[in-house]
Amino acid sequence: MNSTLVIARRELVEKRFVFVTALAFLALAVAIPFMPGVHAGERGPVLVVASLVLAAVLTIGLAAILGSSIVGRELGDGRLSFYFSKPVPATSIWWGKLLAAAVLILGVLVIVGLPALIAGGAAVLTTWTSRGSLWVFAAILATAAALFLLTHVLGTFVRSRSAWFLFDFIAAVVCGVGLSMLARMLLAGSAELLTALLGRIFAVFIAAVVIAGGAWQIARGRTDRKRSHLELSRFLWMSIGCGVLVVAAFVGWVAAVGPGDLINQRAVPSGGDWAFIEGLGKNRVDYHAIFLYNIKTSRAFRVRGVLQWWQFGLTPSGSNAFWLVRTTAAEELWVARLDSSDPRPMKTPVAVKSVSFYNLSPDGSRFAVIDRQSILSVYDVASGDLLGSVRIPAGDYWFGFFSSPDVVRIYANERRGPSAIFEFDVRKKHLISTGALPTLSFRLSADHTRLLLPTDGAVEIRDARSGALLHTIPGHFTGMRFLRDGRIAVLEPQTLDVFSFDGVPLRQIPIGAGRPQVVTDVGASRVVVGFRADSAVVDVDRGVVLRRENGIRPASFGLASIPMLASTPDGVVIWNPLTGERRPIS
Amino acid sequence: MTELAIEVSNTTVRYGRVMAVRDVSLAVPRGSVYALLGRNGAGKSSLVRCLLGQRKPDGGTIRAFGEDVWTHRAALMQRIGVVAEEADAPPEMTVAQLARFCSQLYARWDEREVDDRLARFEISPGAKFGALSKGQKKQTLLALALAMSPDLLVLDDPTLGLDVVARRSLFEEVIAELADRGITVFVTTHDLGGIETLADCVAIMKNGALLVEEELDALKSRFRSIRVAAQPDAFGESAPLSLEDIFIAVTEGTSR
Repeated sequence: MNSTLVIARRELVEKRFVFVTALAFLALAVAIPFMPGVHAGERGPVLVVASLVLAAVLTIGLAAILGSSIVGRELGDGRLSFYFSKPVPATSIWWGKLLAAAVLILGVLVIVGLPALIAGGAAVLTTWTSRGSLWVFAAILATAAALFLLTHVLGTFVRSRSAWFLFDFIAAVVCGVGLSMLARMLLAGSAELLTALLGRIFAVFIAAVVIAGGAWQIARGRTDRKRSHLELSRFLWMSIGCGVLVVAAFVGWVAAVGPGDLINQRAVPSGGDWAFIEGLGKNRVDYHAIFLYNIKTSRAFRVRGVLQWWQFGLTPSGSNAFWLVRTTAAEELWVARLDSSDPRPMKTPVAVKSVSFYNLSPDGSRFAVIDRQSILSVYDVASGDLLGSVRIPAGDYWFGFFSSPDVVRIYANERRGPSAIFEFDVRKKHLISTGALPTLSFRLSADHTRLLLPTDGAVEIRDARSGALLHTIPGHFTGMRFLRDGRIAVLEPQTLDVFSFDGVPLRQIPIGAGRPQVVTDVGASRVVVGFRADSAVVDVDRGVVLRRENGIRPASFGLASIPMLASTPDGVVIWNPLTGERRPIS
Repeated sequence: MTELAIEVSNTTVRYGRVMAVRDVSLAVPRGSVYALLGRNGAGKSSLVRCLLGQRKPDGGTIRAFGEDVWTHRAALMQRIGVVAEEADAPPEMTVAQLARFCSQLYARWDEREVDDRLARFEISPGAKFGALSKGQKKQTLLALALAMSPDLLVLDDPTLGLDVVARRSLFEEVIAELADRGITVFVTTHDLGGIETLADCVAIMKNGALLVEEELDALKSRFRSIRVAAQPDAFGESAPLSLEDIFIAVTEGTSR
C-alpha cells in the first residue's frame, strides 16, 4: 500500500473515537427536536438548526485540535522519529496526516450535519442566507480549514520554544501591515470587488503555502522541533513575502492607472480647458480613478481621496476646482487653481466635519460649508480661519454660492416644500431671508442674478435673490440654459429656441428630428445640442445647424470650450464639434 | 578495502551555541558489531539521529551503504532496523497494530519472526504499547526492527530499562546471532560489560569529539602497553584490562 495511505489509515485508526463523538452529536441533534417545549410543527427547523450548530461546533473545534497536534504534538513529545525510522518519505508523513485530518473533519461535518440536509435545510436556511445550505457547509469547512492550518502553524511555533518566534511575530506584523496598506490603496479607488477577490485569492494562496510548508517542514526539519519551526517559518515567510510582493506589484499596476486607461468614464468640464474625468480602470475590475485633466494639453493630475464625480466642485468661471478628502479626523479641503501655471491639487488648512453642502468663492479665497446641524460656516482658505457661522433656520437640502466675496446666498429646500432663500453677510455676521422659490431645481445665469425654473408647461425667469417671478416662457421644454452672454436657450422637440435675458423671443432654430436633451455652450455663440445618441452643432447668431454628428454627445451639460469632452459608445473622447475631429483621452 | 556499512565524515552537530558533535569521522565495516560509547551528553544520540537521517548535520556527511543518509533516508530505512533510545511508537497502538503497520511499509517482512520474538519476550500482541514497561517497549521495537531483515541494526542504548536477564538475552542471543548472520550492528550503550564480548570495534566520544576509534582487541593491547610502560612494577603484561578500564581512562582525561 502507498505509504501515504498507510500513514493516513494509522492516523484514522488512532483517532477513530472522533467518529464515535460525531455519532453522539448526531444523536443529540436528532433528540433536541423531541425535547419538551418544542412543538411538533417546529421540529424540522429545530432539527436543521441543532444539526448545523452542532456540526459547526464539532467540526471547527476538531479542526483546531487536529491542527495543533498534527505534527506539533509528536514533535514536542519526540515521537516523530517513529515515522522517520521507517522507509517512509517525509512528504508521505505530512500528506498522510493531512489526508486523515481532512477525512476526519469532513466526516464529522457530514455525519452531524446530515439531518440538516435531509430535513430540508435549504428551505430553513433561507431565513439566514439566500446562498443555500451548501454555502453554509462550505463556510463551516472553510473556517475549519483556516483554523486547522493556523493552529498547525502556531502549534509548531509555540512547541519549539524558540526565540525565532519573535521573528515570526515581526514577519506577521510586517506582512499584515503591508497587506492592509495594499488593501487601503485599492479601497481608495473604491475597488471593493477587486479587494475581496484579491483577498480570497491570497487566502487560498496562504492556505496552499501552509500546506506546502508543512511538507517542507517535515522534509527539512524532520524530528528536530527547533529546526522544524525554522524550516516552516522560513518557507512561510519567504513564500508569503513573495506573495505580498506579487500583490504589491499588481496593486501598483492597478493604482498606476492613467486617464487613457479609464473606461465607463464620466466627465465634469470646468467650462475651460480642464475637466474632472472619473472612470473604471481598464482590466482593473472595479478600481476607480479620478483625474483633473487638461483637454487641450492632456496634462493630468490624479485626484486621491475622492471617488465620485459629484463630490467635486468648480467655481462658475472654471478657475478653481475643489473637493473634500475624508480623513479619520475630518474632511480636508483641497483646491486646484486651474487658471494658474501650476494647477497641481493642494491641501488647504480648512478641515470640516459632517458636511452636507459646500462651495468655494469664485476667487477661491473663501469656503462655505453647511453641516448636518444646518450650521453655515465660512472659512478663509489661505489661513483656515473661521470667518463666521450661523444656523440656517430652514432646509433639508441646500445649494448656495458666494454672490459677493462677503455674502453667501443659500437656497434651503424643505422636504416636499418650497425653497427659502437666505443671504449671510460674513463681515456683519448677519443672516437675512431674501425670498423663496417653489423648488430647488433651477438653472442659474452666469452672473448669478437670474434663474430659470422649469414648471409644468413653462419656464419661469426669476430673480435669483428674491425668487420673484419676472417672466414666463410657455411651452413644453426638454432642456434649458443661460448662455455665457445671458441669452436663454431652450429645447423643444426639433427646435432650439433662443430668448433674450428678459425672456423676449429672438430666434427659433430647427435642429432636426429627435428629442433634444441637453444644450452645452461651447463659446463664440455656438452650442451643442445633445440628443439621445447624436449631437447638433448650432450657430445661435445665424440660426443654423452647422453640423450633425452621430454616435457622440456632450459628456455633460453646461459650459464647455472647444475641444470638449464628449461621450461615444466607446467612452469619452476629446471632440472638436466644429470639425468633427475626435481623439482619445491619453 | 573493507566495504563500509556506515561512513561518518567530519560531522558536526550544533544546538544553538552548543556543539554536540565536533568534526567526528568514523567508519563501520559491514558485518561488524560497532560500539559507540560515551558518557551522558557525549553526543552519541545526536550522532545517531544524524546517522538515521533524522537530523541534518551542520557539517560533514554521513553515508550508509554508500548512500547519503539525509537524501536517501526513506530508501535506506528498508535496510536499517532501528531501536531508538526513547520508545517512540504511538502509545495508543497495540503491539499487533504496530506490527501490522510496519508490515505494510517494508518490502521484506517476516511476520513469524515478530511473533516468535514477542512470544520469547513474553509480550502480548494485544497489549497497548503505552502500557508496556520500559524494557518491554525496547523489546517490542527490537522485534519489529528484526522482522524486516535488516542489513544494519542501529541500537541506541538498547539496554536502558531492561532487567539483567533481558539485558543478557539481548547481548548473548540477539546481537550475537545477528553478528553470526553477518548483519552490521551499530550500538550505543553504557553497558560496557555486555558489549565487550561482542564488539569488533569501539569508539569513545567525549564532549562531542571522538577520542578513540579502534578494533577492540587492538585497543586493549594498546592500552595495556601504555599502562605497562607507565607503571612497569605494578602490572604484568598479562594483567586483564577491561573495556570499562579503557573507557574510564579515556573519558577521565586521557587523550589519544
